[in-house]
Amino acid sequence: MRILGIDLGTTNSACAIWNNGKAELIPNRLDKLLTPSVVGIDENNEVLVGESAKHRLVSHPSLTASVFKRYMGSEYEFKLGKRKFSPVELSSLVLRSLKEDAEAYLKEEITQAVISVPAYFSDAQRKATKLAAELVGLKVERLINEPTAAAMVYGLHEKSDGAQFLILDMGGGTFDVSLVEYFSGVLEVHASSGDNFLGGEDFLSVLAQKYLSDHSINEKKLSSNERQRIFEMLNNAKHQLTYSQNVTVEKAHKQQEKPWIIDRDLFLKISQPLLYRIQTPIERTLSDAAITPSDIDEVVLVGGATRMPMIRSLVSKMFRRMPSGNIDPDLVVAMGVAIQAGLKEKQSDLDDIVLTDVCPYSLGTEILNHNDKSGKQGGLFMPIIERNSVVPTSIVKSLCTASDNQKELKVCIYQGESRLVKNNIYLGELEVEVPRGPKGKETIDVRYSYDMNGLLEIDVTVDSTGKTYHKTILNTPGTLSEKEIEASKVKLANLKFHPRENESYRVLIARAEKIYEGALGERRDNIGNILYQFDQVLESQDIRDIEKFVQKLEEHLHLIEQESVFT
Amino acid sequence: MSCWNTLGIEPTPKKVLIKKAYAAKLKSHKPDEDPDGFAVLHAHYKQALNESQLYQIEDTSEPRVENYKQDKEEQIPEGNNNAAHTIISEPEVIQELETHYTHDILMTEDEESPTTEEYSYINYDAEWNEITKQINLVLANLKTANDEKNWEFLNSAEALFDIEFKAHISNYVFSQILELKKQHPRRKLPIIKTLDRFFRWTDKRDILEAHFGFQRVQLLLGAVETIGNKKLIKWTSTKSHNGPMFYPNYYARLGATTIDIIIISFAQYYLALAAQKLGINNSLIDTNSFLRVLVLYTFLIPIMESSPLQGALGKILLGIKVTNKEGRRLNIFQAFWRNISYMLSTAGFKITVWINMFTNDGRMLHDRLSKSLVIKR
Repeated sequence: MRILGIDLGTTNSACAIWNNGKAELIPNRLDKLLTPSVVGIDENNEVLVGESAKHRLVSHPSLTASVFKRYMGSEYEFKLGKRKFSPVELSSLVLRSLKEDAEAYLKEEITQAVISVPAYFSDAQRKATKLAAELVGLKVERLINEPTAAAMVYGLHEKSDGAQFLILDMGGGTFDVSLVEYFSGVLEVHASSGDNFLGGEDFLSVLAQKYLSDHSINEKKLSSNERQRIFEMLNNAKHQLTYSQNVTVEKAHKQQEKPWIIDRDLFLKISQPLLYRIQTPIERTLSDAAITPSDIDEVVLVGGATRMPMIRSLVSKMFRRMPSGNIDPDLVVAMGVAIQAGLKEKQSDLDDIVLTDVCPYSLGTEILNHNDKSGKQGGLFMPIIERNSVVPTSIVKSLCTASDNQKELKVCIYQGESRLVKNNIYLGELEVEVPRGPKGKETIDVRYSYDMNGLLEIDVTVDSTGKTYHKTILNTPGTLSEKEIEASKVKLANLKFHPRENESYRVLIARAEKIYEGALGERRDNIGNILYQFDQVLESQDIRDIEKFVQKLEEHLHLIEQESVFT
Repeated sequence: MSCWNTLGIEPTPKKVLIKKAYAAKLKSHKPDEDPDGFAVLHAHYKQALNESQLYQIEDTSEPRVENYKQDKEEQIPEGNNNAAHTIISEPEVIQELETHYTHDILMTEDEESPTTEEYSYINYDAEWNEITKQINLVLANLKTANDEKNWEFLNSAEALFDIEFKAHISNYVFSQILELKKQHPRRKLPIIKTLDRFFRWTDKRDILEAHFGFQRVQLLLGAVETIGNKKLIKWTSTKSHNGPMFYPNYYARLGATTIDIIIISFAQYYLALAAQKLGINNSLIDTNSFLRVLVLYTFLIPIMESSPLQGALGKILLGIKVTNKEGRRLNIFQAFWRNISYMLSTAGFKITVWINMFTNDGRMLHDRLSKSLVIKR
């Protein structure tokens, strides 16, 4: 039984497997290693995932969804046409696509997976990820933190004993920092921290804000087509800025009269507030590990957003050295996940590798007097599992009643570092009945168990009655009941999928449609004609004709894109 | 059992040996296969690492690098941070901080890395003196301190990119602002918001609290919104109330009702005027202003309470809202019934007030009758 390693990213996903002593990346149906995390529905109600859906973001924004990883574990819903999808369902569609690709590549059925999540993902977000996999019949053998996965690759590759790495992982939506040491086959994560709302998408949105204000466009008044078009063009511009000093954006919106030029300095200036935010998690990680920047042997950059020159220069200034990143930052996490999958499979070539990870945030409970009349409930946070404790861990603390004749105790579960619960993230709560008595007499034992997957379980025992309660967390946003999960499964099973074989044609059509949207006049008619012809050829089902046409179309589209988008 | 027994080695100051022993033992106590055994092993490993420091002093075969670093440390020019010592209220802490800081800077300065040359021109001691001098200048009085322009030098200071240097400057500025606040306890310091954006104080509140104490941090950052953590909660609470419910006190609710009645009184007055102007002549709305208030109150309030606003203006202003027992929004009928039972119970000898005194969640009669809750937003 093979275990698939999956990196489920905000903008791109990838999968890999441990094979013959190395991590082997699995190409998708288009023979690419990265699959965009975009899901769409087409006119025939068929689901599209990846490249083709990404192109349709511009031409059919109301039928396409992206960046849903950011909403994992929340009640947010995406509307695709008339249907509503939760972020979990959308993620499971991406997972489904990856699973199919892997099955076709390995020629066997896959039912188990190791999936990576940002280190700073909360309990609800992790549960949502796990659920997404279960919806498509993948049993999650382990959730691994993304920077830890990347560290595995660097640890195994460099093989330098006693080396300390600082992994800075900035993907599309999240930023994670981990301090990792590798010695004698042990990969030990010392400390970890992060920011769940800092990634490439935020830099894009900063750029978009600048563009909109420069052309005095009201974002709220944009149609979704116009909006997507602007974002798409600016995203390309953002990528271009990695390689050139300045980029010219040709007409992205009708209000734009002349080409808009953006250079690195301007981009740096408007991104400054985001750059300040990079510092905090790094500082926290270093202080938690009681280490100074000079103790670090290597600063490693992981994740697509770290390609940005401004990030590289910031990091080198922060640590007064060049960061390393000699493995493709987009794929390194997937490779690390494959190593973890290999570990889970008990592959003999990984026999002497052990990985230990930490819990990146403090988990605790509110100590309060919830029967308080005046509304001043104390609201103090008591950590039970301190941040950066090694996992798995299980800790018990004793709590007692706060007022006379109290009938029940409410154990509110929080995650965070602030002394006051109102500044921390609320995870859920548990109500416990206790016999009435004078205050302080009744005590309960609260046990927090944090497992290797980063999932939290809570057990409460009432001392006097001996009654036990187990993780019946109420009121958690984004968690589904058994019935809702079943409904989701049925919903996904009823969806129609585009046949895998024709995916490359789909991409081509979507790409042509995208250009059609942006083009005007003659060129537009031209593309319209070609699309019509392509439909005819596809209907003829003559493979040779189709192949010929595809080649012609590809060349043609390439030419148009070269001409129109950038100079 | 001592930690050395668990690791199976003799007490040693050499961390490398401890790590080797731990790595060997770990293979038979892997965290996912033997969580309990791993927990013990890991705790003892940490303990051994701590204890090893006790032996460190006796050990003669210290690594060469360490010696080198110590030599370097002795060369630190003294007395370069006079300004800091005199102003900061907790001299010991800060002093410790500073030696620590200079120490680290020197350690890395001569390190062989590909970019050493690029940064070697930054003299961090000189930069520290320069920047702190400028900070003191800006903080000389409230007016200059609150002017955003005066702080722009922070953005252009190359040395502030260094993560450690910035952390120390951050602490320095924080302590200086505290001093300023102490001198002018009643004056506002809007500049804190700008500085917070630069130094990210609210993000690392707990670290600051450990340094400066909760009260002092609260004094400066109390007014600054903590945005980072709340984000998650904000967009999840579309349907039901997220988080534990806090009950407002009686005065907040009384205040909310008073505000509503005042607004409605004005509204009825202008409505009557408008009706007159338009020439609508209905004896009922024309004559009785009390009736008009009553009618408006009966319809307007339930509509607003069952709307996504979950409360009329008074409740919005005072930060409270109406929900059902599950923390979800009321439906229109429930809101109507709530309102009618409110009017009835107020008419009946102010029973609402009395019943409130015997309950501990602040729920009044009409809340109970309509199975609703009034909670803080």
